[in-house]
Amino acid sequence: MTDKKPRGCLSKLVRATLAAAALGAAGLYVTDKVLESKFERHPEEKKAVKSALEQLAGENYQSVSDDYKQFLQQEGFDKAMESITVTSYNVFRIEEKGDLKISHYIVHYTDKKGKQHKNIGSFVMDEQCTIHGE
Amino acid sequence: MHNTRRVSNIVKITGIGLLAAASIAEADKLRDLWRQRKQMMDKQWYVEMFGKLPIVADGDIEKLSYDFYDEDKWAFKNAVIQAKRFLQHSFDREYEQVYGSDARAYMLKDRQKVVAGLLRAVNVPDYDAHRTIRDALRQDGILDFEFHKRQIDQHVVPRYKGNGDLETALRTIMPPLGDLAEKEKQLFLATMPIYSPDDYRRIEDEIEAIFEQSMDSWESVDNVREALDKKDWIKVAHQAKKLRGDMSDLFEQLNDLTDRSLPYRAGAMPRTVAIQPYPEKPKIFVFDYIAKEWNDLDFDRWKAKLDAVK
Repeated sequence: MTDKKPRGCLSKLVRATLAAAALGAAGLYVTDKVLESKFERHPEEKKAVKSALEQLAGENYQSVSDDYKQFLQQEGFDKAMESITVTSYNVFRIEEKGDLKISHYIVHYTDKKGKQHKNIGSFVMDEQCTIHGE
Repeated sequence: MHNTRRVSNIVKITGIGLLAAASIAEADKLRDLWRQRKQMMDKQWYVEMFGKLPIVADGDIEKLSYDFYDEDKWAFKNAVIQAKRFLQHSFDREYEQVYGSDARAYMLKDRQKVVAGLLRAVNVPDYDAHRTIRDALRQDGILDFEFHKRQIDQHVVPRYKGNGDLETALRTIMPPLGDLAEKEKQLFLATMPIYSPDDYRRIEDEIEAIFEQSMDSWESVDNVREALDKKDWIKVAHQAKKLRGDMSDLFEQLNDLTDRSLPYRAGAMPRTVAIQPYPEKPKIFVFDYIAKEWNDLDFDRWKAKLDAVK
């Protein structure tokens, strides 16, 4: 019993310290997150490219220009996409070139035989994030 | 009243005119882009190297990987030679003819694909192909370890010793100088050939993870550079901290990879020479030209020199 009281006090102190430390850490984490999102480059463009990759994987040409759509269809893109399943993708860099933007992505896909492939590609897009080609 | 309306109409007409001019210019630029793209697509070498379609790997450069080497050595070696030619600026003139003053931007876009492809294929166990890849990436600066050493000696060491605010800030976020030499050594070891495809596959996921993370880190480097240009010190501090975190994760993975892959590399191959990167670990066998580069670089001696910097 005599042992319990100091242990209880200590435990309260430890809890308070831990809570303060957790709050401090959470505060730092939040600050980091806020700063990270504040300084993140081209979040909208990255979102647009990801959505374009998703659309193209589903043979949907909403995000690409009419010229590029026509080109892809002529070159048999639909057929090429039929034989693969896109498993993941990541947009790792957007560069600015005047009004145009160049986005680089990595895509992972599986072919008909179940073999996995990775490919690095790039899109050239305008300010409205419409894709005009590779 | 009349005057006000007239001014307002003039403003409107001018505004509409400017908007129309802007959208015509934009449309022209996009039409140019499409025309230029088509011109590049007419070049046989371009289509063979980079393919035509997004997502799928339909170009040779896109197939540069250990797996593809294992599948089709001849096609792989051909892609390596083309990649080296590209990095040696053999096609620059053709970009200039098509893109004019914008040529550099488009060349750099495609260069990133070439460098990324070569980096993904750097572990192939082929004497000549590995040498060509190393040479191409060295000429490009990415794997020029002598250049990396010089950059650190000439630019980082003086900053480390300096007393200004920026120097103090950099010193706070930077690891000890000797660590930089150790990281360079790890990076060098991660680029060596892995002789058995089975062994490669055992560590393939880690290699890919390192590759993707190093790609992500490019953006942090851009951010730091941009912040330094703008003298935005909050951004410099935050982005440098982020970059340091990224790099530290990256090198931790590299260290792990080096630890796990070194024993796998101990297979005897023609024209290999033994080197011992760590005294407490077994010797490893590398192609003779790598051993020469390794001895010339002498990372341990360089590390001792950096450790002594006060």
